[in-house]
Amino acid sequence: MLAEIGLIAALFAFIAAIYAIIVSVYGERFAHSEAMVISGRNAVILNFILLTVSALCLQIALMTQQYQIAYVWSVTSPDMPDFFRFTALWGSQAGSILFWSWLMSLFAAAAVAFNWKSHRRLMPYAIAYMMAVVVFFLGLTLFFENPFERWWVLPSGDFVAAAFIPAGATVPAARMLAESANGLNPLLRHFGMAIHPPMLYLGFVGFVIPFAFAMSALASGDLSTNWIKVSRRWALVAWLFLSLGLLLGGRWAYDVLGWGGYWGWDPVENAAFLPWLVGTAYLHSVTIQEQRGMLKTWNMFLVIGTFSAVIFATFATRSGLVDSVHSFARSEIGFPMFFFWFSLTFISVSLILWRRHRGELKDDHAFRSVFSREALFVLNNFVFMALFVVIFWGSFGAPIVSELFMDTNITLGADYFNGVTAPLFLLLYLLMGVAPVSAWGISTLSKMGRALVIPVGLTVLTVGAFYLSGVTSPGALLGYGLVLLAGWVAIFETYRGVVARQRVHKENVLHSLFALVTRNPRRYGGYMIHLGIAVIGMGVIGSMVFQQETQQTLSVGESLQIDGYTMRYDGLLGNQVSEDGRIMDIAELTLFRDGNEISHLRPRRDFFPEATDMNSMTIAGSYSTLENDFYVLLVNWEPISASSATFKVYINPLINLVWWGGLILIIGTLLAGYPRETLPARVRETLRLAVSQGARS
Amino acid sequence: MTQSMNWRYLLMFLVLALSVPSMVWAQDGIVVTDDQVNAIAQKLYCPVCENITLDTCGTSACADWRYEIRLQLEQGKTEVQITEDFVRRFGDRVVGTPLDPLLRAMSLYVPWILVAAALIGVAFVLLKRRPAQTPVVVQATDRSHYDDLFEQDLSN
Amino acid sequence: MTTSVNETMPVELAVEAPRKPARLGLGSIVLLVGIIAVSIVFAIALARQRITQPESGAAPTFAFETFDGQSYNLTDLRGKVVMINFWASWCGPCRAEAPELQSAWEYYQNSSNVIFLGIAYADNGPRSIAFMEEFGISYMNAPDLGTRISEAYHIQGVPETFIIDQDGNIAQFVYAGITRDRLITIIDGVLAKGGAQ
Repeated sequence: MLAEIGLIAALFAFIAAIYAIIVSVYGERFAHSEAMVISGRNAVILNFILLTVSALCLQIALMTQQYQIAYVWSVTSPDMPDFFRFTALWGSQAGSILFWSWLMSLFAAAAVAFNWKSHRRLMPYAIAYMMAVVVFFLGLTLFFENPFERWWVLPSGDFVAAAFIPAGATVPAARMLAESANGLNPLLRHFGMAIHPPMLYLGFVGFVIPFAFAMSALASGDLSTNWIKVSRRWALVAWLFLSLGLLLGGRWAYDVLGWGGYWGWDPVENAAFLPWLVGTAYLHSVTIQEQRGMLKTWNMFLVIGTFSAVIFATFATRSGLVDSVHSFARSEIGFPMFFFWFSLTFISVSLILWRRHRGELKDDHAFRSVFSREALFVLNNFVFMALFVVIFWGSFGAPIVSELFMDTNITLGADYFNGVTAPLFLLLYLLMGVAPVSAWGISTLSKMGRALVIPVGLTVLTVGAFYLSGVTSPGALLGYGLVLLAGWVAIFETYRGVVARQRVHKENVLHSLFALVTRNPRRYGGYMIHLGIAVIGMGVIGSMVFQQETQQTLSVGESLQIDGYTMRYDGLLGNQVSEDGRIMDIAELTLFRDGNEISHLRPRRDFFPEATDMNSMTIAGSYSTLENDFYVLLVNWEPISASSATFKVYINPLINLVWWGGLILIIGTLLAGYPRETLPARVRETLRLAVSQGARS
Repeated sequence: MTQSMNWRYLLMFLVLALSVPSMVWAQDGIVVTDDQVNAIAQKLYCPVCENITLDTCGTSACADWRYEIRLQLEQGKTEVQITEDFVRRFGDRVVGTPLDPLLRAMSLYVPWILVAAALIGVAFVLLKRRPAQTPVVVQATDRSHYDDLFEQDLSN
Repeated sequence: MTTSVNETMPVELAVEAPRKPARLGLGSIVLLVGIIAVSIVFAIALARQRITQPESGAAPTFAFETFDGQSYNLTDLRGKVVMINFWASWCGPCRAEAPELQSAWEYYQNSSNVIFLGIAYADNGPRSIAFMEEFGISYMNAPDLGTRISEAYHIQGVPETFIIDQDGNIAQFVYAGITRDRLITIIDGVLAKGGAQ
């Protein structure tokens, strides 16, 4: 019953989306009928409702263990806890595509709800583009990866999965289905995996809104700043989720994959990072268009490029184009996704070029100074694009070119990516330090120099402190220096704002800070994001350059030493069975530092007897301080017994700064996207008067 | 005679004394720690899995390859020799950057060529466009940078 | 609800008529051609990903050097039925299969028109030799240097077996493990067909 309702709801959602495209475009362009355009809007809402019903059906089927549904059968099993039944919705290809379509339809409905009045002129085409994307993904669900297929027994005795009952087929015995059910991939049975994919999907899917508005502007010819205004905020929302998804993915890798790191430069990780790079470039360059009316064509390319990168990432991950630990199983959707990606990119780019040739994307200003903020932003965009190129090349270009034209399979690994991206990232940090103190239009070197004196001084002091604490490698010191400069500039610019406010108003520092940030959340949110990125940079340099590791086999009572820590092997708790059926071998360790006992750690190896592949995983034990993480793994391929076990220990310096920086970045993004129109006009006018008086005095 | 005998005994003793440790050396081989194996294994990729380095790969095939790295280290081979041997046997996919000169050059230089081409393109577009534009007078102010920023805060 | 908006629409449409015939600049052409070129490369790569093991037609030829140091090319073996078996010492099913293969080889070893060739896939160190000794393998075996042979045959795993007829065409592909009797049935079939020609 659930399968039928879910399938029918998905089918009607598909029809509603097609209907929305047709009436929106026809109503706007040819019939000039407001009623048709409104009907198109209503179809978007209907599409969302129907997809919600469809996704809910699959979710209920998962929760209530309807193993006749092949998807439920393939990702859950009777002994699984409810939490993982819930997350199994996105645990495999078919379910995750339905989930993805639902999220996209949610975004479309939200865009319609929030922006209908304010951006009415852009709406019909925006609806058409959003629904076109939804139609594609729903088409995949209906025709290629149907999550509502059920198992049937044919008269011949063979089992077959089909959406509709084949002639003469019967329903298989429920007990037999339950006993043979697969269960979720063990690697996905982790709290991080419950949140990481939805966040990443939200980030991916969210970029459909800026894309649709950009395309709508191109199609309708309304190339004023309207589309920029609406798309920037949605891009920020998507960017927030994408950043969160990437961070959570890193955290999940660190906790579960057991190799002591958080970013492996795997093609699939890189594929998710590529839209982030283009999206970040867009969020910077969009400011230039708003402030100076420049780079109009370029911004179009960036918005469309971001979404094209999103679809590419989805295509690369789900088609088996590249081999990766993260890939979904190879499937039939490769070519449909490829054609969708190609046509989307080609049509969008052609549209931009067409408008450009008609002279409709002319800039209002020219570049006047190489040190102006817009020039620095252009440089920033260029570095982001260079990062895009080298990462794209390393993940997809070189392996594919060498396979096709040189008949050799190659993999570019961490040493390639670290080598080529490090200088570009450092250049970005340098720009992050310099650009905030430059001015729009014209800015001179001496002016910028004056504004940089104090941040540079603070940077020199902190780098000196690093040097005294034992960091002597020039490369690392340079890296720390550039990252710190970016951080100090963000802090110092905020501080200057507070001081200037205090000159005008007699109020305490916190009040000033609060007032400053709420008055221009975009600027100070931006500084906070910069601060977060700088903190992440510190963590990345520390954990990458100064990571230490050792692997040793210990008997009970023996210890190993590393970096001032002593770790003693106290004993083994073998064959512990947990509620979801996993069998755990848990090592008990005591950690000492400088002779003092500081912690008990319990790294473990989990074995999943019922899982078909990837049936074991190692869960690290770790002791975190701001200085470093002591991270220990039970090496699962060596014999593990009470008498001896092999441990791999990593010392990851400053790694917690990556997570803390992530938190700062998220708060900063929330601030930057906070609608500032909430401040009453009267208050703003008072402020304006007060400040202009203050400036005169 | 006795003197020369003594001399000979001394020589024999010396030879023996020197050869004892070297015999022990030859029997036990070089002692190789897990860390030395991992230092090489973490730069080599498992040939049959997907983008997993040998030091973190849990399959029995990877265990065999780590064992081979250990054997080769015990034979006194260097990291370069071991890496070259793995590449010869499993192809350039086992290293993070190919060793084959042509593949290596392609991997490392093509992205920079693309970036440089893009840079030239951008510069060309910007320079070409500049004179065509009517210069727009920008409100260049003499006030300090900070007031500048503050003004903008309020105006947007 | 927003009727005023509608009134502006015809004006906007009028503006949309092209002012001059669109002329593509060099940059635009480069961009569009670039997108098409990149897409073609990806399409080919995607198509290549989907190529599976050849089940008929000419068998990809390759040169190999056996573990005993003899060099051959597959073309040297024309006129004989060649069984190529991809295996690895770290693979469980290969252990189960090895005695079956050896037993089948013992059935044919005195015949001059059947050749068995084992290819050790991603596995040719001391463990391969130990594996062959363990199962007393007496037919030819060669390491798959640079995994080039397995790439040419697009194998997806080990064990996989190909039987090549006297003319160098693939007569049969066997996915996963094979038994002595099945192998003998296949090879005898190929021999019979070859003899009839």
